[in-house]
Amino acid sequence: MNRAEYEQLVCAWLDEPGREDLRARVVTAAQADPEFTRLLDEWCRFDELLRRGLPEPHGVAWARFKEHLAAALDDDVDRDDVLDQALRGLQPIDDCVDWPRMRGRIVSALTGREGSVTARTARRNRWITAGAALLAAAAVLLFSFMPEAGSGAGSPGLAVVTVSRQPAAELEPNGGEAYARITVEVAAVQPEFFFSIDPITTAGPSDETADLY
Amino acid sequence: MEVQRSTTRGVPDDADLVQQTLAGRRGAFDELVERYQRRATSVAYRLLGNLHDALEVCQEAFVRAYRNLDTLADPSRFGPWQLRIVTNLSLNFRRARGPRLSFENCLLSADESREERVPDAPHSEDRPGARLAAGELETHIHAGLAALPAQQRAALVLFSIEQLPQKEVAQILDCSIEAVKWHVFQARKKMKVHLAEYL
Repeated sequence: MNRAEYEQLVCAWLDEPGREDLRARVVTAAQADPEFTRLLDEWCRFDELLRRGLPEPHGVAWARFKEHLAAALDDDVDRDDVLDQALRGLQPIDDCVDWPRMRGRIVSALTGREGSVTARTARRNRWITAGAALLAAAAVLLFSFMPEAGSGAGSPGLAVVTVSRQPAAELEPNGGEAYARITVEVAAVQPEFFFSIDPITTAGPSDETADLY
Repeated sequence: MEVQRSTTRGVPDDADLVQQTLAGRRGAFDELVERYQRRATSVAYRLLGNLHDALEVCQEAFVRAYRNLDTLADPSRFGPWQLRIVTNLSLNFRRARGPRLSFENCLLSADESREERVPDAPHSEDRPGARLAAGELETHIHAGLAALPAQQRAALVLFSIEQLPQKEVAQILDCSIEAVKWHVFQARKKMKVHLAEYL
């Protein structure tokens, strides 16, 4: 136990002098260390000095002081009554104020405050409108320069066509539709022309179309 | 210094007196003054070191207690509550610049003072040297107390000198019991150094 701890122990015992456990610890530690013995003696003398060195206030005529207090309380109550009376006697303000003018002042103050609020709102709305217009213009420009999907023959791209698993020859002439899936990139596509030749029913001048085969 | 808190043989306790005061009976409060004026003045005196200041604080404390009696939550706790007012007023006391209250008529004359002297007090010694030494010691102790921080000064006065229970001191100072112990310990250490020449 160091000096600070011992001093705290001694103070704890001085706080509760009836505690035998604290007293035993204090005495045991003092017996083991001459420095603690000196400290214990010093603390006890100090405690005694503090109590006896400050006696209760003397020289007070307590009965007269009690009367003095009673008079002070009476004065305090009387002062409250006087104050209440003075407050009740104050001139009412109704006759002292030009109420229409006062109302006008208040309205003006409110209007001024509202006008400034309206101006701020209008400015804010203008900013919002301008911002929206800019966004719309940007959107228009963006969409204008975007390429159209599927425009013009010959443009390179990918065409996806669904292919039926059945051979085309097995398809009924007038039924079904044939699809083809093209999974490779197709370069420029040349247009193809298809002709159909109707069966010849009578001999006659050749059909102009037959000359093309 | 014992104060009455419980009814014995028809003597009203503090709670009864408080209730009677609130009911309009001013005489009941005068009885409370009689019970607590000495302790209140003693605490104020030990905190302020000046008897005149202590009487002024004591008067103000009782006036405030009377005005705010209806705010006292537990009427049986009038004593600690009133001491709390005294302590706070003492710690915040500033001498008024204007005309001060006079308590001259509340002080004993030299003859009355000789009759009142308590046998155990150092001042009861007839030897002038002893009285002077005791007076110097008292002044020195007051100087040491005045140099302490407010909470430590109040804790030391209320607990070590007035010997109030720690729990009551904690209520008066509005802190924990542990805080009271700590304030007392710190105050004692500083006062021991201050009074080293007397030890």
